Amino acid sequence: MNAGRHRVLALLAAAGLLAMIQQQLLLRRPPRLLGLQSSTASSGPAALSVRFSRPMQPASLTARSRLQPAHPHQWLGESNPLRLLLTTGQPLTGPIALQIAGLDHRGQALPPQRWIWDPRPRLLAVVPLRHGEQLQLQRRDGRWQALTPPLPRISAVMPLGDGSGIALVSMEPRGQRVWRLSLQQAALARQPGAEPRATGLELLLPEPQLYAHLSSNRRGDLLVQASSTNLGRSRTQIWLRGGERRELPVEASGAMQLLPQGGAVVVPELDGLSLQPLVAGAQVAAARRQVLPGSRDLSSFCPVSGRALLLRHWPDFRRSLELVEPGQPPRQLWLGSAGVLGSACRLGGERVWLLLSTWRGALQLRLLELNREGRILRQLRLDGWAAEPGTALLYDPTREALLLTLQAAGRDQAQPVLIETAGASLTLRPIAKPVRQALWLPAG
Amino acid sequence: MGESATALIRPLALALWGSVLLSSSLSGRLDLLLRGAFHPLVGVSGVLLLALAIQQANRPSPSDRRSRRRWSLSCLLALAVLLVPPNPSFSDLAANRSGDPGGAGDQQTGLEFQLPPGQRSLTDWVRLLRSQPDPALYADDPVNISGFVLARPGEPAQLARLLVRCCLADASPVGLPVRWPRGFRPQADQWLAIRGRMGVERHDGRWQSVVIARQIRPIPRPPRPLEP
Repeated sequence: MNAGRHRVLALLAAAGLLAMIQQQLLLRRPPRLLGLQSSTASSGPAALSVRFSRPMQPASLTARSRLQPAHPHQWLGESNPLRLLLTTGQPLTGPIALQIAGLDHRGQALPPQRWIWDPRPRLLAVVPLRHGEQLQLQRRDGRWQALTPPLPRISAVMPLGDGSGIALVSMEPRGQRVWRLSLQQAALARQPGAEPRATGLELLLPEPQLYAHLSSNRRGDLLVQASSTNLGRSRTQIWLRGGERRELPVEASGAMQLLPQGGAVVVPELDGLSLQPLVAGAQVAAARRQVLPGSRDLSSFCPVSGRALLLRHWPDFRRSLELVEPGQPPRQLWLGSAGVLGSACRLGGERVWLLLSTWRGALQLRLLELNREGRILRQLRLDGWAAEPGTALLYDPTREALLLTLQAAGRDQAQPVLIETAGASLTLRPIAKPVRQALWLPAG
Repeated sequence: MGESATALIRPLALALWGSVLLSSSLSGRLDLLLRGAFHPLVGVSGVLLLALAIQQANRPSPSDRRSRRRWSLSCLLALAVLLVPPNPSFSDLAANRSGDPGGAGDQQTGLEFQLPPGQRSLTDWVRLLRSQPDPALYADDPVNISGFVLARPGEPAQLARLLVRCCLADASPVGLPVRWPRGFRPQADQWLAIRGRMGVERHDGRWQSVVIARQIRPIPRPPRPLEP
């Protein structure tokens, strides 16, 4: 009996000792960095979400962390995760050497972590070749790098929102082919100078299609609306970031767009635009469906907080640009009879850019900069330039620049054109590269 | 104690505890203590205890005085629980717990677009602000929330809710800083509904979101005050 009791006591003492040793080890273990995620969906040019193994003192991170070059920034959040936010008003011109250091709430120091952070998206272009077209990417040193072999005409390109790849549609004699190009790249690296690497081009849909429309969100999900030449009926499928493929039982009267932050899709319907959740059952999806009636098209999403720009068509053939905000009626920013080629916005619509085309003997392009109230702040006449068909107006908050694909008068090929918005006036900066379409590729 | 009473002491205690569990799950009292998902489990346990009490009624009662005293004490405790309803101070509880809603980043899916700011609950707001702590993104958004006043010593009163995975024992408070109207003194534990706007304030050298209260209305404690 005594021996048994002694054994139990010894076991209990050993367990207690083990717990105490473990506790002391954990107490002395420094905090660790668990995750870094770069994002341009923030109130500044870029932000970095930083997750630690323990709650940290934000003040210590402010004091001990360094950015080189010294961009103005602030640490936001209570303890974990924290967000490093670059302050607005300073376009990024190069990568940032980042040193993260700080103390947890017990005063344990995080060993300094050094990273190279470059949140600037890269310039991606469909480049015409002698026989076909090719997808190319501009490296940080300015040179161009081929991402795909020459393909017949590339009719659509959709960079995945997390930078992990690019979906594209090529037009072939038997129909359209939908491809996915996988990329290896990251906005954060230990060493400078890493360039994206194409790791594989795969056919997403085996059979040729009559048409295909692509959309992606920041998570990297890809939506494909396509109609097979064999089946003749339209199908909508979504490839989730993890690789899972799902059929979406959604009827649309036009091209659907995934919501940038994920979780829902904007569906054009005969009586308006609807917002439908992606990952709910049919009943829940129907219950959560939100409809905005009227003859409207989604023009572009704003980078943050669920704002978007809509193009409304009026019975007298005029058009208006509306800023839609959650829970509020759309706010009209512009009304006119000019053709709207594209729109883009900064933050939640604090600045809105609108590309218009008017016919006055010849086609004239005009870029307007508006504020939230619809007041024209600046405008730029793009005399001598023509917009490449299907060009989009794309805003990069890190460079504070708009991207367009324009063709100069007297030239037979278009080129990427940057319009810098940070200065006192809108400044045009053409890039000498013949392209058919230019886009931003998120930095990953 | 008479012999018949002595014989009944064990089944009586079991029946009383069975009644406590059963009546708590039927009367909604459990809503204050436990997440709704676990309520059926408690109800079934109550029925099992009542069945056990009936089965024990024909068994010999505990013979020694010590056991009888224990069973009697158990009976008294069960009676006390039955007669005195629980009235926990959420503010006291919250003041002694660290606020970590857990999985905040994973659970904010689609909040920004699908749920208009005016329809976000206090918990939705806290999850959103923790996953994307960027106050400028939410400046001037309409706010319509309810919760209890959490008063921590040395800190301004917040409006808070308790999040539970299972029960009050694992509850963690989540709160939003509030800029109270001039002259308004929030009382700890008081339940309030607040309408206002989300503002941005500098606190300890850092920018943070703060609810600028425009309209404050005292409300009764909701029937299910704990949130998953």
